[in-house]
Amino acid sequence: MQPEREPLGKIFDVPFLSLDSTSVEMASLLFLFLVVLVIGTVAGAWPRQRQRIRRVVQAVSFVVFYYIVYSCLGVFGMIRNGLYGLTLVGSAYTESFYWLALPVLAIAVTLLHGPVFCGWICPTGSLQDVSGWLRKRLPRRLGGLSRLEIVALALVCAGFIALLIWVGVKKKLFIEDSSLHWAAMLLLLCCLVLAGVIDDVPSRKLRAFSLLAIVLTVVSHSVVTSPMHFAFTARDDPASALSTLVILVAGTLVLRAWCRYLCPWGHVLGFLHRFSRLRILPDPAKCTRCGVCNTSCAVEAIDHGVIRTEHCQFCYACVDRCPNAGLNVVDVWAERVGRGKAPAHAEMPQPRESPSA
Amino acid sequence: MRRNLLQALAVIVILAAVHVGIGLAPTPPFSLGVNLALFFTNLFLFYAAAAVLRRRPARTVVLFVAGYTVLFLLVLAILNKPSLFILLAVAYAGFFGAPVLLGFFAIFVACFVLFQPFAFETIIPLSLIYAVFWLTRRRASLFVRLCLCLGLLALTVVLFPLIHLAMQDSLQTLWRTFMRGDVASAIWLSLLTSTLATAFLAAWAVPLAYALARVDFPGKRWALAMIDVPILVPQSVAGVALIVLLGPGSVLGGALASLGLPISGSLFGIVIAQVFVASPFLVKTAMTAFEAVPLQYEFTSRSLGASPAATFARISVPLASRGILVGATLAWARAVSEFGCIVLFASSPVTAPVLVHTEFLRAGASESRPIAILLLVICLWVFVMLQFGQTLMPFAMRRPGGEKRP
Repeated sequence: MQPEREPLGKIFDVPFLSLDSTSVEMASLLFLFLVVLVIGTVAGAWPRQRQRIRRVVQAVSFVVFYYIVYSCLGVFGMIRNGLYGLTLVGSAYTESFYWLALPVLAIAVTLLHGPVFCGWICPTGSLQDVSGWLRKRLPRRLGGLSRLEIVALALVCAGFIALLIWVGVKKKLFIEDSSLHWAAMLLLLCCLVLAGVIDDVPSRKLRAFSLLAIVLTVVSHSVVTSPMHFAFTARDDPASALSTLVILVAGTLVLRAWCRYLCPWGHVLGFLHRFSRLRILPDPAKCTRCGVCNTSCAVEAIDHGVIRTEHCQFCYACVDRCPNAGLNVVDVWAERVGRGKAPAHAEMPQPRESPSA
Repeated sequence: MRRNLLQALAVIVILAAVHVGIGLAPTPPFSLGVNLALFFTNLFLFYAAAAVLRRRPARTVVLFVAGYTVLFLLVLAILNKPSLFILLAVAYAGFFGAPVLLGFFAIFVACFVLFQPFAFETIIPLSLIYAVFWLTRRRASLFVRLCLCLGLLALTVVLFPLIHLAMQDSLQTLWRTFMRGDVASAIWLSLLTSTLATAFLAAWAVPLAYALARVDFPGKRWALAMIDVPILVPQSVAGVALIVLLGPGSVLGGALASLGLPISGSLFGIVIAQVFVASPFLVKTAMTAFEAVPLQYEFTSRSLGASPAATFARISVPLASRGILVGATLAWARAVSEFGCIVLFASSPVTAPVLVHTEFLRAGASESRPIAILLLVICLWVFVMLQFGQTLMPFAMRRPGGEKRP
């Protein structure tokens, strides 16, 4: 255990705007509000500049998360501490606010505006977009490589996985380091998907298992750190740093691999997207089935205009790239009232007919 | 477009003026950070309201404002917790447009703000009941749904001590308690003896129930009443009765001990006590199940040459198996939960209910609590599994409503 020190490069140890002279930072919350308002209003007003605005928002939120948002502690930490914060409501209001502010805001924004948290704000997502940018500069297909290069690549990947497993096994039962297991799994998944052994879409159900694992560790009062955790904490967490590196590597193999296969928070927001106000819907009259939207989506959540809501990250890339402007952002709640239907949730999963009394 | 912009600007200016006014008050109720955060929260709410309430009837607008006012009065004016208010107001803005989720949100606020020390115990049953209320909306009238959900609510109140108990200890404590030798052996002993008792009971109670369902004789009503006697008799009376008959000093107990079958202080005594208290549940339920088996099937079986015993074994028992399993489950549950009779008659080896009692006497409620939770969880799990197992059994007959599955 290292002595207490400031997190990597975090230079502000006093909050800009404290909550009643505690060390709880309000500026991060204000900033998140601002981001939401920017996404909701400015991005809607200038659709031509939308992707550029998104990059700016991503960059700014990355910096802000890095310097101001102390309470995040990575994806797993956010879920764990969010649940922990729930237990503190009623006894320690300030601390519960500290842990709950970010998850609550993300959930509320998802319901109002779709899962823009994933596409516009999440630092892990931004990091993967960087490696996705790198990917375009790498050879697109394995066919472009010589046989020797393929063997070398396979060896590097295998060695990396072996290293991860070795490091993980060396620290067995030291559950804090288990982000390495997630990282090894991610790399393995990417390789298997690229090799065609398993399919992309069914593998995404693993996000639910990831969420289940985190909730189980929370219930059993143990701590699992996630990738990106090392940037938020005062402790040394080499395992988290290494798994962040793995996410970067995996992002060059499969676009936004972490979001696709393993992000538990993405599963939560994807589930909530089912109920959210805004949704991207195709205009069948304008769709020419050209397939541009399929290639524009980083998580392959769209197939010729038909969107899988549980994977969509609301980055608007398909809306902006559609050559015929055939994709619309629709206010589902207003539509439902406009049609005169009772606002019963038609898309809520209907239970099966009960087999017996 | 320009008009919308002007309206938005006007609202922002008004909001800002209000919050600047609050900040400049002689004794400002909030610090600068909180005030700013509240300003942005209200701005966010305004943005959400503008998005959600567009083209909505006035009723919805009033509902939105009413909800906000309730939150404001409850959390900010009475509790005076601006941090909680920010959280709840932001969540409220998000949840408002989806009626299902808004209901869950209201339950959340009620549980976490009003029922505070019992937040988790209340939110789980309440949201389950609300989900049932929502899911039955197209299957039953409002009256039936209200009967269902208010009844479930009352049931929750009745079972609340158990729900509260189950929330008390962490998994680590439970695991450490379970790894204690005496606790694990007591729980295994309870499970083993009650299973043995149920098996022993089934061997004679199922044929008895079949006979009672098939034949009338003078005094049958007395026989049926006799079956219920163990329910009527207080457990301490049953314990004393068993001691008098089979206890260490008695004739029969001494004889059995000399044969190498000591009653007290052995597993055998526990099983006898459990059979005594559990027998009515299996007999009565199995009898009802056999009565539901249509006689035509048995006649057909006999006419094709099967003996009465074969008809019983291959026609009646399979068709009544669901009811028999229900009875066996109830008898098993009664046997596990038996305490009074065992503590008098066969207090060693220690079964789990007896262990909870002795731990309570020795060290108080906090020490016996994890054992009680373990016993509760394990028994509940087995009970639920057995209830689930009934659905795998064949049906006795077509009920009036008509069963869809074979």
